[in-house]
Amino acid sequence: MNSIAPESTNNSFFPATDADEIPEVLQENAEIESTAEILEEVSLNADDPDLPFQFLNRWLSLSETQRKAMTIIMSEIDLVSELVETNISDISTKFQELAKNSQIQTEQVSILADSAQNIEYQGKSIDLSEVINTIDEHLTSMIGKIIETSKHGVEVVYALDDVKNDVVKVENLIDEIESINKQTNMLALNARIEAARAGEAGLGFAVVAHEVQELARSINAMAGTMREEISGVAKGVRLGHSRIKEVANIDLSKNILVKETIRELMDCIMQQNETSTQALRSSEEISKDITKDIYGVITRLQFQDRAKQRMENINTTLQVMGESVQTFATETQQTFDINLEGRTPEDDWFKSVIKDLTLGEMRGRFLKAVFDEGDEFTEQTENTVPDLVEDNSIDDDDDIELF
Amino acid sequence: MKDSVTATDDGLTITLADKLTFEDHTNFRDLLRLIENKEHKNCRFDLHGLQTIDSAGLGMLMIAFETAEKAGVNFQIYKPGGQVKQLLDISEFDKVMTIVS
Repeated sequence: MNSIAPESTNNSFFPATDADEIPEVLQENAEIESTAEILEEVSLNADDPDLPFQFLNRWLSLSETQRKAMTIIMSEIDLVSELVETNISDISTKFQELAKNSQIQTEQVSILADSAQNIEYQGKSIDLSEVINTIDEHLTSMIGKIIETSKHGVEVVYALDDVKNDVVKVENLIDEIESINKQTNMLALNARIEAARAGEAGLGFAVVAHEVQELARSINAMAGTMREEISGVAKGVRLGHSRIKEVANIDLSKNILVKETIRELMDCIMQQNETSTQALRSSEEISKDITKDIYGVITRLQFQDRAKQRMENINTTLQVMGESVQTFATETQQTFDINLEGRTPEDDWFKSVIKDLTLGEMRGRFLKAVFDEGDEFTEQTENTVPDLVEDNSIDDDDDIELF
Repeated sequence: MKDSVTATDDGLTITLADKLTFEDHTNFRDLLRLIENKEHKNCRFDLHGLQTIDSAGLGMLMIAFETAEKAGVNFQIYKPGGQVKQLLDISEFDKVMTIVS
């Protein structure tokens, strides 16, 4: 019989058994007589009349042991079938949940990826690039107004410069008027003096000179009023000029440069958003693939049905084989009843068959079936299907449930 | 502001250097009068030596352009650089007047 690969020593349900743990019964006389040795014995004792009966005796012993072995093998196959069915059912259920969660995750990632490109504003979904363009348009409009305001500011300053100059000109003109008026007054005074010297003949001229003097006084009064008025205007113009210069002197160039900073920040946001969206789309695709793979695994797990049917067929075949062997043994016993008494069982053969079994509890069941022997461990575990371990203490960080 | 004016058959070239701010508005007006004279068909503002400009300076350049336009003089800004070019670009002056880089 070929040896079975040893199970992992970490398996708490199926602890591996090393050579030291092999029951004592298997350590003795594990060697069986080879076919060559038997044939040699036959040829040496060919004339012995009891030899055929000895062989029949051995064949019957072997067939009985084999029937017991087949019975326990069938039992083991049933156990394996049940074990596989129970665990595959649990695994399938877990995978169904996993697939469902994976599908939900895919949908949520998809929603996230869709919403990453848009923002909600006043109940409307607006594309982020549209938002950035709108901000850009507003900033451009604002900068245009800054330039326009600056231009008008300088234009007003220029206009008030002109007004200031005009006011100075008017003030100079008033000075000239007053100067001329002063000369006029002096002339009128001289005229009155000359008229007085002229006596009777200068009386008329004296009246005119007096009128001219009065006129000069009126003009002087008017010039004074004009000076006061123009002084008020000049004061207002100078104040306005001063204020508008203060306004025009406010430097808004940094506010203009803000547009570029905002544009760069927006580009960063767009770039980051693009990266996030790509990552989300990639995650969405991966989630879809995971879901698809999980459903594929669930489909593949349906092999258990076919495996169960095959194991049932194997058991049926083994049963027929066992019955055939039993029938043949019974017929042989009935035919050679007297001569076959006292035959020895084929213990050595059976021990050699099971000595390579690495599962202690399985080996125990084999021993009990044939020799009605077993150790304490075998008693505890025979004919049982292991349940899944519920102890969370052996769960690792990824919540993978281990046997 | 440091300015120099060159008049050739091709037109008037006004070169501005250092900085152009509100403080320069009086001197700048003298330059505007040169444009208003209509003695030249072309006027170029050479800004390659201008280091900085403020918002009033931008306003004055716009006044210069409008003055030239009113006088029927071709107006051109020539080789602005650094902060001046940055501000002219952001303010989209190129959509209004000719800017030679």
